[in-house]
Amino acid sequence: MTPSNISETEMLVGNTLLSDNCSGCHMASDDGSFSRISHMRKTPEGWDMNIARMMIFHGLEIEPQDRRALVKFLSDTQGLAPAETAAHRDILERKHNTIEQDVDPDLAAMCARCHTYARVALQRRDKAEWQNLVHMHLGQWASIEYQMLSRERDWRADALGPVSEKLGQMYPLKTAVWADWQATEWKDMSGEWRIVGHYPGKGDMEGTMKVTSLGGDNYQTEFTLHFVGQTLVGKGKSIVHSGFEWRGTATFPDEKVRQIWAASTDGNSMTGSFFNKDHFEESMVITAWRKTSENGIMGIVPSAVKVGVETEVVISGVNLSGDVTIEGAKVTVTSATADRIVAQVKADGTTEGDVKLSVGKDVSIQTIYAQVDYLKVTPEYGISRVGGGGGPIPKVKAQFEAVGYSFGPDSVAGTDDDVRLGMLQVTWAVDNYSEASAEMQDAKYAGYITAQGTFIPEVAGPNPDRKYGTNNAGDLKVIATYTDGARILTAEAHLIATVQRWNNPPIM
Amino acid sequence: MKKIIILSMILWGVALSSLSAAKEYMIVGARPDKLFVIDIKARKVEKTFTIPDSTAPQNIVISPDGKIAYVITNHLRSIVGIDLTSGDVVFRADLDYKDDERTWNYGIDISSNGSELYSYDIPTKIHLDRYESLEPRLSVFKTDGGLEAAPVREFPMPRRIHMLMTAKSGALYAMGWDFYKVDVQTGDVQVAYPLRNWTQKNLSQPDALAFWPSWDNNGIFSTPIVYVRTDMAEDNMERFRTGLLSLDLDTEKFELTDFQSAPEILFSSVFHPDRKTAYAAYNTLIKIDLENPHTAKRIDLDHTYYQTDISADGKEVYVGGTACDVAIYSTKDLSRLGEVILPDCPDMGATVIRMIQK
Ligand code: HEC
Ligand code: HEC
Repeated sequence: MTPSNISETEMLVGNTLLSDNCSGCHMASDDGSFSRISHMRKTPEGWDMNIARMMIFHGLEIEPQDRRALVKFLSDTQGLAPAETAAHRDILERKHNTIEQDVDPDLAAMCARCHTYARVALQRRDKAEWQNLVHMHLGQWASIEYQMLSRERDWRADALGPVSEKLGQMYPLKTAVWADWQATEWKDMSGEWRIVGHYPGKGDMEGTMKVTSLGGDNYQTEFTLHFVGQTLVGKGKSIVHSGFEWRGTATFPDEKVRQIWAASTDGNSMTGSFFNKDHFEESMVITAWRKTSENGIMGIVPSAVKVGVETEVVISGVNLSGDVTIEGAKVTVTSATADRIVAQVKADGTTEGDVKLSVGKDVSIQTIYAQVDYLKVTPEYGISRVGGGGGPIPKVKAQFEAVGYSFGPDSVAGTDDDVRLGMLQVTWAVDNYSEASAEMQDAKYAGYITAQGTFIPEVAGPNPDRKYGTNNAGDLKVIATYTDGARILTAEAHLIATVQRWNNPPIM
Repeated sequence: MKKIIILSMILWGVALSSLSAAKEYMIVGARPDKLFVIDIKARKVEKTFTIPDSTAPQNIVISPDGKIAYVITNHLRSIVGIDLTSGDVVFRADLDYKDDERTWNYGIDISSNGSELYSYDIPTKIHLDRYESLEPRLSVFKTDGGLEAAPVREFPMPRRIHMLMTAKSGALYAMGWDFYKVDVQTGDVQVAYPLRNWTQKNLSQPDALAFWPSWDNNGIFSTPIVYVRTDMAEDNMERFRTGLLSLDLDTEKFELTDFQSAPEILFSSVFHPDRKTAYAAYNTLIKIDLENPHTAKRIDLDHTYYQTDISADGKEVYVGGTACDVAIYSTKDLSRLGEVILPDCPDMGATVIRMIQK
């Protein structure tokens, strides 16, 4: 059956590419299938890594444009449905400091030691093909059965037996969601989009994106993004795989960025990460809404206002119109378009906590607080990596952000009624995490933290000044200090400043 | 037990004194293709050989007459015999001799008469569009097999073996999940000392991954091994234990000597020829009192070292592997006695140290 979203011509071209490039090793059958290849489904990144392995391990020679075309064809015909990627998008979107969720503990012990669990859970195939993949692992890495966390078990027997069985049940080739998604009409993404996002430690962004079709699910993009104090204009190209996997690159005056987003099934919104091409840790999570006849509020900046302090609040959205009101606050609108309303807001203290903000008939939440009661640093546990120093691998920075909270009605910290007040301006410092790190003077050697909470690690390689001539790794605490008049609040996070990763595959 | 230990000491004492006229050499390899013969007491590299078609030398086995070194290289895929006088290649077995197979060596030793090599092989069949991991096997080669040696016998073996060693009697031992005794004629495999399902009271399954042959000057295989005391309270850090597991290659007796909790990683160990002390290393070098088992001394090393070895006279302990230096310490007090830096500082990686007399 030809999926309705892919034309006869596209099918023919794709199959010809497989035949030309792959059939020397992967037998073509009369039914049009190719051995191995036709029996699994992967994300675009999964297919691309697969073809890279064919090149590196098996000597496949393929033109770059054919490789891209095959990734597109295979993702469209043998991809994952939106619901099948939902649980593991953080890894797919290269979000830094991700602690994986939705992990089967048995499988994780066997399969999430060298790479993420997502790499496994973002593939679909039946038991026999999971077994083939296990054989590839056993034949490729001599030490796989000998490494710690393998060697106490019969790794091979477990992997070929119960693990392949379970994988085939949890992540099978044929699923109803994929069949349904193939039968759903995949939407054209061209049009005007409204976009909001947040850069941890740096602040909020709101802007617009204009998308023009170039044909074949390829698009041209134009961005106008407003950050606090500056507006950036950029241009780029994007492609949509599997009907919803938006992948883009764009060039801004000072940097090149990439986008890995997922479109909603109705094609009217997208979410995902927007990150520096060379530093995926410099990333913001965005939401984009198509400017349709629908309307709504996408973001309010700042999300919290302090009682008695007149604050400029920016409300971003689509097709906004009508009166702006906030419970318990005086609102003076200073400018208003359908996309963006700027208002001076002063809370009178009659209410605190999350209150109703409305623009005409659209409602959202504004937070009102009397004082910041405590702060938290996110992530609680961060990772940076040494790099640079003439070596091939750039440093991986770690970005921290301080978030304020009020105790809420019960006046107790850490309870359900605590109110999140958003990012705070704080001062940053690092210190040794433990006695052992103090003895090694990690805080002195591992790097420094900027005023915006970015930890910049030191260069890679051994450091002759250090004990044992060790490298510039370290175990640190990151300390945020918030000053509110005479009150001083602090919070800490844990930072592992560690060594490089030698390869940074698309799916870690 | 005590009697056997004393007996074996006497035997080795005899062996050592008969050798004392000979000069002692250390043999080590380095990436990508070097084999060094070191006059260790002179702290001097005496010979440097180049192994043809080699990438990463690891395990080394010396013929009983001390004349030939059989080196595992090419990422565990070739056995190359080098004449230690001339540097000539006198033996070569590329383990991928079978069509469509990729085979790794995970253990090698030589028969006590020097006529046969035992290779523990892990093969994978490479089909056109898939791999097929096969069962491991013991391949027996004749040492006079020439430059395209093929095995004369093959036997299926348990998985996950990482070390082979031949006892004086000619019996082959293999360390893996358990310690096995292998009949090299019939392929019969018996558990000689259980590890995975060991019968030690109140001790968890142990963890030991040994690659280091340190028996040349003492006749005893030993390795650090870690396990947990299941009868001690969960919050008691003393429950994490380190012992030395040893196999006397003369008497074929196993022994487990529990000597400390688990304050450090130890990769390898070596017994003193008098069997009263042992030494173990990784980031630290420790001296272990075997008579009254405890760590008698500990020093920090300047970098990580994988293998520990010892001089025939028991005066010097050597640490090597990982970089391009062999560091030399006094067995008495672990004071630094010197070092040998390999010419052009090649990476020793996971190469082993062997000690020979000639
Ligand atoms: C010893 C480390 C290690 C372990 C353990 C391991 N993997 Fe992998 N795996 C790798 C590496 C390395 C790759 C990358 C291969 C390549 O270069 O394409 C990989 C690739 C993969 C891929 C992507 C293959 C493709 O071409 O799309 C999947 C899926 C995968 N592993 C699943 C598993 C499963 C399932 C298990 C457990 C049974 C497992 N892995 C255990 C190291 C490991
Ligand atoms: C020179 C031979 C060769 C060519 C050409 C080749 N492959 Fe492969 N392919 C292999 C081998 C061998 C394996 C099994 C080992 C492995 O997975 O790497 C394999 C495995 C695969 C698998 C299974 C991977 C998995 O995750 O289990 C897929 C899918 C695949 N190839 C796709 C392709 C595609 C697409 C092409 C053409 C663009 C291609 N191959 C070209 C030899 C080849």
